Amino acid sequence: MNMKNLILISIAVLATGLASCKKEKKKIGEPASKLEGINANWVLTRVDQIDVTKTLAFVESDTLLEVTEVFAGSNPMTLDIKSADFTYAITPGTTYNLFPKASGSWKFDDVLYPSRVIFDASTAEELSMKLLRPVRPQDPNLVLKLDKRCNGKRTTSYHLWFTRKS
Amino acid sequence: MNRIILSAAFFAFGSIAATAQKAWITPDPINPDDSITIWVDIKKCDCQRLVGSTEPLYIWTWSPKDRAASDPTFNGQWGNSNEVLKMTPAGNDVWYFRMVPTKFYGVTAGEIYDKGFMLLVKKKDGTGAGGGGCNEDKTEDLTIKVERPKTQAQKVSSFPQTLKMDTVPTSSNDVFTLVYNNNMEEKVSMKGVKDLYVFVQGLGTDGLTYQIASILQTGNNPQLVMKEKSPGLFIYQMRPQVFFPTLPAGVKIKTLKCQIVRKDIGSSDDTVDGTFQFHFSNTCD
Repeated sequence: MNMKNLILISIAVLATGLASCKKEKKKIGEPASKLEGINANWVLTRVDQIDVTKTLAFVESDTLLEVTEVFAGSNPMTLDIKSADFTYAITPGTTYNLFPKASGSWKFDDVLYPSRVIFDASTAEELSMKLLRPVRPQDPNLVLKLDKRCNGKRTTSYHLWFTRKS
Repeated sequence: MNRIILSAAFFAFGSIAATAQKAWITPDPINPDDSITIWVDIKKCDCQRLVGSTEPLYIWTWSPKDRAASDPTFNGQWGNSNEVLKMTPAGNDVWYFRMVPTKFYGVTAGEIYDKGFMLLVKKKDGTGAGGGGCNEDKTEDLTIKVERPKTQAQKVSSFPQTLKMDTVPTSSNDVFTLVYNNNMEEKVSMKGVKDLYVFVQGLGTDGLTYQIASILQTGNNPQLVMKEKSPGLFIYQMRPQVFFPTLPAGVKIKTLKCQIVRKDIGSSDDTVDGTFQFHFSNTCD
């Protein structure tokens, strides 16, 4: 094999190698259904409290403190959410229960790209909570932010971490 | 020159307060280890015998600590005030007195914050017409509360932090956390200790005081133990409204009083100096 053939073979091998490195195009597919994701029985496993008076905080721990033990107690709340008929039911246990009702209706603010979960919308007991994380079928947690207000002014907030039971 | 500067400071810092208060301090908040000025507006006082006085006036103060006769800042006799307590006129019946509180009273900064100042202003001989009350050459008793500074890290604090007058923004139903930073402790006997408990008293809207245990029994109650969140940083969490088993229905906890103590209290060496009060905004649940 002369030098010219050797170079040609080397180029061919290199080109084949490079071609094999090309990424295959994948299809994104349909976005995961949040309705399917939230449809579960959830148990409260962590609660963080927010100090809303601290407006100049440089680290998260300055404004956020875990309060699970005192807030949830020994028998934490469960939240059963059904997407089929958009109903929910709460078993408060020993938890500081800030839900005005034990059961009722719920909805997302946007079914495809939800940012809030609204319980008992358009009633006197309406409770709207920010969705802090996506809640797809594969996500283990439902994380809601509950703002407490007095005369229109926020006094504190709680981040409620629910874990999927079933 | 000092008087001009102080007068300027009075108009700059105290003019708003002066319209509403008989007595106040500058700066606000103070550093108890640094020089402060106590101001009294005689015209705002209930007792008016000193209005327009051309005689020297003297501060007479007994809190945070009444000093002994051997102390240089001793008040003196009622008929003969100690000359070092002479006040300075700022004009328009406003008088002031400068001091470094911890040196003047011989107390810690914590005691200044806890007890505040109690004082009156008098002539060198306060007897006046005699008989006590406003018939003597003095003002009535004046109280000045001392706010702890909010801008710097505190040894004992709360979460959420307090707003003005030790009021937290939350209700007694919310979670309340007492925070104690032992790393900032100056008391030698309490440095580095781990067996910390909280003696908690709740003042109800019915005017009664509720507690889990007496201060001496606090260390025997596991539910009163503080947790070490990180080295030297201790927290105690509770929901005041459901904390006291004997609290009657319909009564709300409006104030918490907390003292941090060791498990076995043998003396004041086993306690963090000071009682820490927190008021709740119970307008809403």
